[in-house]
Amino acid sequence: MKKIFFAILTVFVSYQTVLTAQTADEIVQKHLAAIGGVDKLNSIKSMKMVGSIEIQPGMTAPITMQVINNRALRMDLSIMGMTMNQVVYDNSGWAVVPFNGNPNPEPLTQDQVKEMKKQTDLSGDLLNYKDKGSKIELIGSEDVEGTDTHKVKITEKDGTIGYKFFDKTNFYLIKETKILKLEDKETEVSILYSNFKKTETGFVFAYSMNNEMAGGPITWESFEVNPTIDEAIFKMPAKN
Amino acid sequence: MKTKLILIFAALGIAFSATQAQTKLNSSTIGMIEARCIGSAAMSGRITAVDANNKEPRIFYVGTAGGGIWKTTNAGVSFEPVFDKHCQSIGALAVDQNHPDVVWAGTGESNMRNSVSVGNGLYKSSDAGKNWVKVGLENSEHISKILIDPNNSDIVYVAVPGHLWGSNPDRGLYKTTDGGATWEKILYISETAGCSEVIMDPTNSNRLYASTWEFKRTPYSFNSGGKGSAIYKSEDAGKTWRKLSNGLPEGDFGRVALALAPSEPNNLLAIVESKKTGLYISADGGETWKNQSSSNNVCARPFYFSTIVVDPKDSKRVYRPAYTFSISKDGGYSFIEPQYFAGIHPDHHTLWINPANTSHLLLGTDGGLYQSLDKGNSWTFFWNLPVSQFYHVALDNKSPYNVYGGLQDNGSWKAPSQKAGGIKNGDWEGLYGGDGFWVQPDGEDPDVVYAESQGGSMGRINRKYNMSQSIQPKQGPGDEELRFNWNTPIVRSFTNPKVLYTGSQYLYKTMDKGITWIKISPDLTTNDKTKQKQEESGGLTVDNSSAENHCTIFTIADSPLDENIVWVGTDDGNLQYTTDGGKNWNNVTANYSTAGIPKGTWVSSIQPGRFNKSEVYVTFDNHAYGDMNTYVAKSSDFGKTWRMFKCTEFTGFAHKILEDLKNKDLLFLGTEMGCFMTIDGGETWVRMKNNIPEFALVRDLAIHPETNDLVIATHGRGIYIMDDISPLRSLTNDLMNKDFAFLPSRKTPVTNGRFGGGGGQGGEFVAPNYTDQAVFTYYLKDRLNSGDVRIEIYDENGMMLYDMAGTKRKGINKVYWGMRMKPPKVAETGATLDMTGFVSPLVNPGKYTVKLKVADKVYTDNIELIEDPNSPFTKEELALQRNTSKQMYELIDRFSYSAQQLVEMQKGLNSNLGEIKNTKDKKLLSEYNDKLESIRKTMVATKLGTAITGEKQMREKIAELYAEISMYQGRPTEYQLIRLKGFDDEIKKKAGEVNSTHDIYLEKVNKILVKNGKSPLKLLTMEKWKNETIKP
Repeated sequence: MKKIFFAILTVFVSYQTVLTAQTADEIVQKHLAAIGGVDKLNSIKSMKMVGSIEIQPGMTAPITMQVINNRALRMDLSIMGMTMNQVVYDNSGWAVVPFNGNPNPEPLTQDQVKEMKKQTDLSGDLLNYKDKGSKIELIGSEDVEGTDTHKVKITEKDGTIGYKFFDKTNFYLIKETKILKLEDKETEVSILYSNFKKTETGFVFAYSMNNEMAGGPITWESFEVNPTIDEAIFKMPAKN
Repeated sequence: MKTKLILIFAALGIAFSATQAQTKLNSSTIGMIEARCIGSAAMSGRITAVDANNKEPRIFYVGTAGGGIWKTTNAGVSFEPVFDKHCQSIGALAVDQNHPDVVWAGTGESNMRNSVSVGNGLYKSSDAGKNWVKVGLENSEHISKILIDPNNSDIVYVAVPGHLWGSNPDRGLYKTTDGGATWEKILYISETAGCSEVIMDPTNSNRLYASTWEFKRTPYSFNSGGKGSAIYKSEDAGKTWRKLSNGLPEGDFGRVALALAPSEPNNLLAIVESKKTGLYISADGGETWKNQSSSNNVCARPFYFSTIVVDPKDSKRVYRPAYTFSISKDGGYSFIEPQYFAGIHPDHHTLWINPANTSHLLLGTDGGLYQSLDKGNSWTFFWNLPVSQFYHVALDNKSPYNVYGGLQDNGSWKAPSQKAGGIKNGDWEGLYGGDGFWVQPDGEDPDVVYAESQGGSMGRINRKYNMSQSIQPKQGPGDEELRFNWNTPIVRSFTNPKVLYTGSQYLYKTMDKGITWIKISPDLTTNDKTKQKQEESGGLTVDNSSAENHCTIFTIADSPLDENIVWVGTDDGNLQYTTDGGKNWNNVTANYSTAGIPKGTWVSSIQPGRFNKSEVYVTFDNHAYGDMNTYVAKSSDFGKTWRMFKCTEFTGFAHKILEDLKNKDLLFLGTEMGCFMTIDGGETWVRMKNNIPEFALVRDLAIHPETNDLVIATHGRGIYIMDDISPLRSLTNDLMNKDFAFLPSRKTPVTNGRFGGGGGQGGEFVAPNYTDQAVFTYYLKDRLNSGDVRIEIYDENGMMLYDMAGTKRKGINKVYWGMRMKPPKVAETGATLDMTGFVSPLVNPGKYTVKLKVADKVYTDNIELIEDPNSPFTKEELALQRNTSKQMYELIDRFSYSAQQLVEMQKGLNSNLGEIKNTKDKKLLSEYNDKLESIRKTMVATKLGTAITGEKQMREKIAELYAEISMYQGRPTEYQLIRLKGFDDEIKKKAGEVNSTHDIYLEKVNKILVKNGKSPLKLLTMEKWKNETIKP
């Protein structure tokens, strides 16, 4: 169960945008254009994603993620009819992990809230990265599952370091690595993205992602841009 | 669903193809065929450099002789290799203490022993070791010291001894003032003398001291010493230099170890190799010197032990790590050895002292890294640095097979290739001492092993009785004095398990385990007397360790096709063969040079053709003459004509060529800087990078005939096993142009895996096993960016047993199947997860159909699972277990159906309850629900709570029994069988209870619902339950 919990913590929104570059910035522009363009990405105010995660080979669990830009995120994952969820709302967060008989919400740590809160940024960490206080740097080329990529380092305002890998042929983000700090220990988490599809509204999303810590791949069935989300779902329920 | 799919039946290796540009083999084609390192970390390897982030000394870096750089952020509880894309031989490390994320690494160790590797320049990381950039000095080959100006991080000095195996101008002391962008040579002596040490006055960064060193090796000699060796001082940050000599010995110097006392920087110490080798000290910044101790450990092998360190706070406390670890409390006047070899590997090369806490020391030795917290009086070992330096590897035919090999300065060992719980340090069994090289398990007796130490001292070891007899051949009547190579071959015949070969200048054969050696050749070397003066070798300090023995046999290989064909290669370039078991010898030495290989080149390995007697592959190593080129060649006519293989990606001098056992076009090559393979008989080669350091020092290679594992012996990263390379055998240029292809894997026995072994403790190295699961292997021409890969497995009746996601990388993909059915579907009820939903029975051995869905295409193949040949169970026992777990699977299905039927009815009742106004009617609905609830509470655990409630109802008890029976392949116990029968009865009874409740209430309740305009409730049918069990 711990593993699943971790997986949820580290599921990043999969259309994160980018920067980088042949000169780093050039690569960013190409990437942003490739996945829908700056204007479109700026227009995202909320998002709902529905899909499934393979929690062990052959066993999938439905997963739903709902996000209000820079505000709130809720993830629900069901196994055998039991649903765990994890929520960040403004500056606090909570989770229900019912699998061992505890149906009550418990608060998240500040580290967890901080990490999840970053994922509420629906424009991604690359769009307007300068305004967000991040720095980017082209590290070089790297082979990712046989694909030649541009490897770009991003240093966020708070010092968090990540690496982005862009397919040189289409500028899609096919891999990213984040260095997460839990307590004093650094942990490197990588996610691979694939199954890129263009939606009717012109966004390119990765419908499949593989988070090495999640135990298996996540497949999204739908991405709904700017749905109406009732904020009530983010409020911590009372304990039983 | 199935009908929507385009079914393409692809026979093995024949798959859908599209016409596109030719796809060629490259490193990433090898894909998920990855290697795993099995260590050992118990016999670690030579540590050459250590530096720490002094503000946070839990973060430190370890440089090794042939295993790259390792970093810890937790004071050594765990280490990560951080230099795997670069040269693995490390000479120097330096952490910029003003910006501890900046780390400098000089490649090319400078402990100039015969087996030392070479580097390819200076590297810098700006992110604490995650990424490295080469910043120059590409042609230095050896770097011994990096010194950062503490007042200006852009100023860095680098001491470059330079080439060992020849004259060269790329040596001396280099300086950058722009952080490595440009370099200036600021102290240069000659093409034969470089700079071996540089130190700085911590109170005055313009004051530098440097020692220069003249040295050279050939294959048969070593010289340390000459006019170029000296100590210099600069007062202007290296612009001008002055030689220091007042009080130092007369005549030529050899290597000089240099240090100063940081707390009294005018106090200098120098171990000066000379006619009067000893420790010299100065109290006036080197202007005058006086002689101090010349004790054994101070003077020990100055070319190899060039370290002397003063405690940063106590100018009188001096450490001399060398053969052993000596401590002086009187500034070097006298030394003691508090731990003469007790618990610490001899031969020390680097010492780091924590400047804030000078009791805390890190010591690098020939056998790994140690830490002391009491100023060097006692030490603990780091058990987690797998940087062992193998020379050769051999395998036996046990299951799992064992790996045997000899290590630089760490003896000879064996370990299993697989072990329950992983292969740990303690699984390595020591066999023989000294430097280890060839180890051969006897072909007949599993307790007997042959091993050796340097210079051909060899023994036959009986592991059962823990005895060893020396079996080195002795000089016979009429023989010249025997000359054995430092690394003398001991080779077992391919074809005859009784036959063992070894060689001095003559070739010997034994058929009675070394009791009788038959000399089957004349002197096969050039017998050049000018190359046989090892007794004079060493220069100022004689160093005759057998390392310079020359004109000896170095490689022996008999034909896998004909016992009478034996090839022999020597260290002085002779290549000869016999076709009649040694009666006549044919010298083909003159022929290989016509293919471009220099005459007299060391013959490092020979691979007689496995498919054609007249074929032979040979690697040549000319590095000891300063030539680092990769020489590998093939002859198809018994050595008359040669074709040299070429590839722009080749790096490092060649150690080993290996022809695959089954595919004549599949070859593997190990060099000093990488592992390479070809699938087209040598036309094109690629570097193997899959979990192997890209520039690994690959000394030997072997393939196991049963498992098809490629075993890679590295000189600095231990043994790697690339499990089951059979998919590589079917890679061809044709196949690689297809979008998709199935690739064969070895047949998998149906097993539960290995039980036991325990896990490792923190700080211990534990090597992973290869999977026990069935492996589906397939090739994708490109990474699948659009669509997904799914795998479905069907039994012979077309029933789907399992489905799961596949991988989608370019090249070879692997997906693992635990050989189990999908777990039973479980009811969605209860306070905790139903553990039966995570457990499933193993399938039976047999053939299964695999459907691979790649985006919108479907490819079909078969996979064969076999009965485990090592299974201890009878057919009857296996059958009983299989039937019982299947019975349980069905029982759980029935149980879960009842439970789901019940909870769905409860859901229906609850959702209608609020809608019924009539009190009596409402009561009836409630009553029905309550009856069902009371039954539910006996079927599944329902208590909520944050603690483990421990509540066990029927479901939890069934889950326990189900797991017990499913997870053991043998006969279930009698009590398990009895309990199963009990559950069967209880479930029937429970189903009866549920049904009779429905009988009593359902019809009445439905009448009420209809009366209220609601739809009647329906019981979940078995059909609906089943249909949802297995998705089409």
